[in-house]
Amino acid sequence: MEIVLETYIKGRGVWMVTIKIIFNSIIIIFSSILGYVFGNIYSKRAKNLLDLQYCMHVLESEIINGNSPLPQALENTSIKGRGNIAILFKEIKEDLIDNKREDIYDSFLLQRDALRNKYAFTNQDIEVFFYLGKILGKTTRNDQEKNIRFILTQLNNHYIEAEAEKSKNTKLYRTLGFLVGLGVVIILI
Amino acid sequence: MEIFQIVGIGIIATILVTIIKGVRSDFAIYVSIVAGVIIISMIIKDISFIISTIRNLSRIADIEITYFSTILKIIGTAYVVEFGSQISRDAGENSIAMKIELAGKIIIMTLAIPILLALMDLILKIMP
Amino acid sequence: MDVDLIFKIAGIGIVTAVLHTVLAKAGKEEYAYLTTLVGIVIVLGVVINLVSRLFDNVKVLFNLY
Repeated sequence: MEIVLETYIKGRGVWMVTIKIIFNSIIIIFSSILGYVFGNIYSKRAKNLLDLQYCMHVLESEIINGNSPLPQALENTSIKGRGNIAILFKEIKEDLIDNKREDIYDSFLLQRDALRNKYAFTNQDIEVFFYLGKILGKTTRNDQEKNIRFILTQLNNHYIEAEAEKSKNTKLYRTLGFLVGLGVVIILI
Repeated sequence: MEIFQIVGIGIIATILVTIIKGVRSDFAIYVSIVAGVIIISMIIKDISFIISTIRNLSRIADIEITYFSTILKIIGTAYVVEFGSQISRDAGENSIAMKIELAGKIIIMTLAIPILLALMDLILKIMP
Repeated sequence: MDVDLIFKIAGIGIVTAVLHTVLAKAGKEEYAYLTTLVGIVIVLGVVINLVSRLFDNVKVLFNLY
């Protein structure tokens, strides 16, 4: 092994070989990271959808069983909820109170960008979530309960679909990123 | 010693071709072609040296330069034809290989005809 | 014109084959075939270039113009 390495370096000089190795490693690492991040989007969406369902259950029990007003319910959901998405409810509550919104739907609208980028939701997921904003705190308790049930079913459907996509796609994109990096390195060697 | 490098490259190339034939059989040809080209390139300086030596010898021995040039061309054609036809044979295309060889034979005959005519002339001159 | 070239071609071949299998298994057959085709084209380009250079050398060597 050492003999091979020696003859290889003797043909080119130690510095060039080192620089080449570093350069190629950078390319491979960079491309793998790219593929990894891209693949993770799918797993993020699935996980966040699951956590969102959990938080919705908490919110439902807060509204139906607890007798607290809406801001308090939101705060409790954020505390008792699970995952990154619990923070979302706290932000909505704070926006509701700080800006004295008439309609809670506006607070929901503000979260659109966060929903898309931070939580990797698709447009359909966001529409379902906004539906929550439309019905929250407006109608009777029974109606709200039915609406929340409806939203939960929707979210569950989306979750199942996201789960399928995720298992298919995350590993694919991660592997793809690494392989493409490897291919580029080999072509450029 | 150059020969060890060349044999080594040949062995490695053969192993690689066998591996790749298992994974994806159409790429194996490329590896074998490239290996052939590289080995020939390593040898080409020696070939050139041999040829120039023979040329000098023929000049010293006072043989006409055209004869030597024709022989050289024939040898070159034979080599190139062999290279191409063997690659086709490796890929399983025996018919294409035979066509290449046929073309080579015909071209060699064409190259040889002037020498044949000169020989005829010589013989006719000798015979009464 | 070096030993590295053999490894490079073999490497491209293996990477292309693996990419093909990964993509095909993930269901994207079209991309799989596209990748394979691209790999073949690249390798073909390099090999044709090499062979052309070899034949040029042989032509000069044997006075075969």
